Amino acid sequence: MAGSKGENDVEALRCVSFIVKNGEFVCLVGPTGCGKTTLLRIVAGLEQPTRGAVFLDGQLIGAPSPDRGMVFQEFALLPWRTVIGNIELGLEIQGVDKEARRKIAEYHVNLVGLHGFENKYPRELSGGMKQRAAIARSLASDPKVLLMDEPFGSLDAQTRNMMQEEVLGIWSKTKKTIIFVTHSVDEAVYLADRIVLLTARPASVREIFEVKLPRPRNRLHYEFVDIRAEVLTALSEEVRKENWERRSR
Amino acid sequence: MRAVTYRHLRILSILLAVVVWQIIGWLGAFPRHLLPWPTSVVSSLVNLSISGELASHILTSLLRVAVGFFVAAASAVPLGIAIGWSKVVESLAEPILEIIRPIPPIAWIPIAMLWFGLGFKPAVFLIFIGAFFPILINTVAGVRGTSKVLVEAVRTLGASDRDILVKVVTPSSIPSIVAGLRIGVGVGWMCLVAAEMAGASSGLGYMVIYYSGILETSSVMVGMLAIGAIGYAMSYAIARVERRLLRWRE
Amino acid sequence: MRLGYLLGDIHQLAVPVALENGYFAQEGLNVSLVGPFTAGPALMKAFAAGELDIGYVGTPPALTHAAKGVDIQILASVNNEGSALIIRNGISRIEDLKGKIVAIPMVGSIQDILLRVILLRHGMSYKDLNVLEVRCPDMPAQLEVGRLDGYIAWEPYCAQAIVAGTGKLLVSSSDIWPGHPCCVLVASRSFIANQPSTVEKIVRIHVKATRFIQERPKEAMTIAAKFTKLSLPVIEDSWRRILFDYEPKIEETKLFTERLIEFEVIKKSDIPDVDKFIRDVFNTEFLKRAVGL
Repeated sequence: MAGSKGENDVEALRCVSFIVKNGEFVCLVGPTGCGKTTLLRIVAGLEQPTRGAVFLDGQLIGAPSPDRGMVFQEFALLPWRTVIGNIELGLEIQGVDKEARRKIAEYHVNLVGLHGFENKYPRELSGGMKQRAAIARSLASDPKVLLMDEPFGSLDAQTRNMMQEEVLGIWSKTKKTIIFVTHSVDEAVYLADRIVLLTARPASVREIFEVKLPRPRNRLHYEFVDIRAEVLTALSEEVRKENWERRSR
Repeated sequence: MRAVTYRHLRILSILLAVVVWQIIGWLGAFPRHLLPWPTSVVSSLVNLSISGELASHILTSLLRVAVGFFVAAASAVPLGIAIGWSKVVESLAEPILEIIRPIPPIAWIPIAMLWFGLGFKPAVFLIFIGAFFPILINTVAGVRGTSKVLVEAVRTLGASDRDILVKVVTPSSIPSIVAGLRIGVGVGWMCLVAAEMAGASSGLGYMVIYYSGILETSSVMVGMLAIGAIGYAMSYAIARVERRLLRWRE
Repeated sequence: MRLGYLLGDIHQLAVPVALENGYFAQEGLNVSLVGPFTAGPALMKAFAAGELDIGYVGTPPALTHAAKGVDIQILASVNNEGSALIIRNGISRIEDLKGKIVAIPMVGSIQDILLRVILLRHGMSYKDLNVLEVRCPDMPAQLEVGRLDGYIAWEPYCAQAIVAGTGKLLVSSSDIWPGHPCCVLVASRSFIANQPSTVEKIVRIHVKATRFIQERPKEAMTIAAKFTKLSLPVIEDSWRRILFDYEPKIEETKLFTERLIEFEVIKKSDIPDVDKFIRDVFNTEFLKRAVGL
């Protein structure tokens, strides 16, 4: 995809352009408020760029579609539906018949490890379980790309680590293309094939880091630590620039 | 010895009020037509129950309120959803509704009688006017209060506007709608006395007015207490249904 | 001195006449008008709350409230008769009312009793009709739009339909019960006890105003038009059925009280001795003195 945009009166993205390969796990990082969420939302079709375009498999994207499933930090499960009811939702919308729906939904319940919780309501689930259900919901519609907007932001540290493992497991099983926004460099280095670092607002691509480490990755391994330091340094510069900008206004 | 619970206190407060009331009566502080004794009220209650008069008035009023309430719900809920959903509908409907809303049901009585005649129909209309606005307002609030992130999440599943309306907005609004219905039935019930001033010859509201006209104050109080007790029972019943329906809420 | 009266009630013409002709000022009385009340019971409640000293009110609410212990006495009549049974075109006899919708102002009103009497005379009862209670001001409109087939009310609501051509007279109240009581002049007992000289003046004024109405109808009608805002034709038509007179109808009132007890509008236990009740509620001393002058 390639694109650039401004939003309302605030220019969120200036010149952002990169390509994501099929089956890749890409992380977007950048200073807070740099527009990485805006970028993800444009890909999802929830917002329109003022200039530029996003292409998926050579086709220009438009409105939101199950091809580009999205997982939100707030989980966004329908509270009045059970876990399996939520997972079936996309299939219902597409008009899949009852039996087929059930089968697909049950498969995904197991995929994310929620077997036994099919008939629970979201309020009965922990944060991690809710997010797993949300992931299952998006995956059930067989998207080409899975977009994840700081999905573990509202989870505690331990659940977060567990969910990172969970996501990697799902990714290796389903081979989906994943674009993952996070403000944690550590998380990005742990998960991604490539890390796209955005500058401060209005964002451009500052640098794209390749993370060629085999998985499962060891956080204490020197190569991990090196890449992490590299990304962090670049990020800190951007953060400083942002503060400088703000102070001089 | 069992501890005194809050429940005991509540019952005690009512008993105490009745006893104090009776004592005030015995002391002759007020003439009987101004403040009847609890014993007179009880004896009126017994007479009115035995003669079947009270039951007949209650049923008549319940029927009127039921019809008025259902018409109000059937019109206010869809309209509320439309107003909350569509800016066009909101702009068209809101000015007229905001002008009508502050008009109390009592002020509608002359028009109600001219349009609908006497007895049942104008009473139903007046109760409809009372119940309509709480239901409408709560429905609109429910729709407007739909979580944006929920809508966006479902959009990314490929949902059309219609899907969003049916699968997200409406279920999300149900708690508000039910709250509106509960308030609406309460307001509609409170409009009984006004509603039955429009040429009614039966009903609890009529009963209050009639007995007031001949200064049978203890029967007036029976009517008032019946209105209060039934209103409370209706509210309680709907709250039970509400809790059952909304088990999924945090 | 607080005086209450009823809204738009042409029966109580004595009040505007007395005001217009300055009778109160002539007797040196400072009148504070309370109301106008839309209904008799509301006026009687003001007596119960101690807010009124003198009132012009219908006989039924005066009796029902006195029976319950509101301390008033009837000093004089204000008018007698002055009601009628009005029907829509297409009905010509009492018998035609079978199965029809007829309105009365209220259970226990004079009109209620009158209707029962006239039906009885024709071998009918409320069981043969559909009787509704409607406020008098609403009756002509409901007749016009066809929701009522007939009604029995006090003036001017009868004349209104007649003059407008939407209804016609079937029988007037004087045909049903000649000389029946209607509005009366009442005063609270405490006021009578504390200010007897004022009460005497008021009764005198009332007699004077009533005589004025009897002797100079044309001028009285003009005052009526001004105060009730009715048209002259309506006033003239209702005039034919109203008897403006101050002589109290004691026997008739006793009969009426017995009817009210019979129909359980007044509880038997509230008036165990009707004769005594009537004797106590009427106070004709002031009237006798005023007329003697």
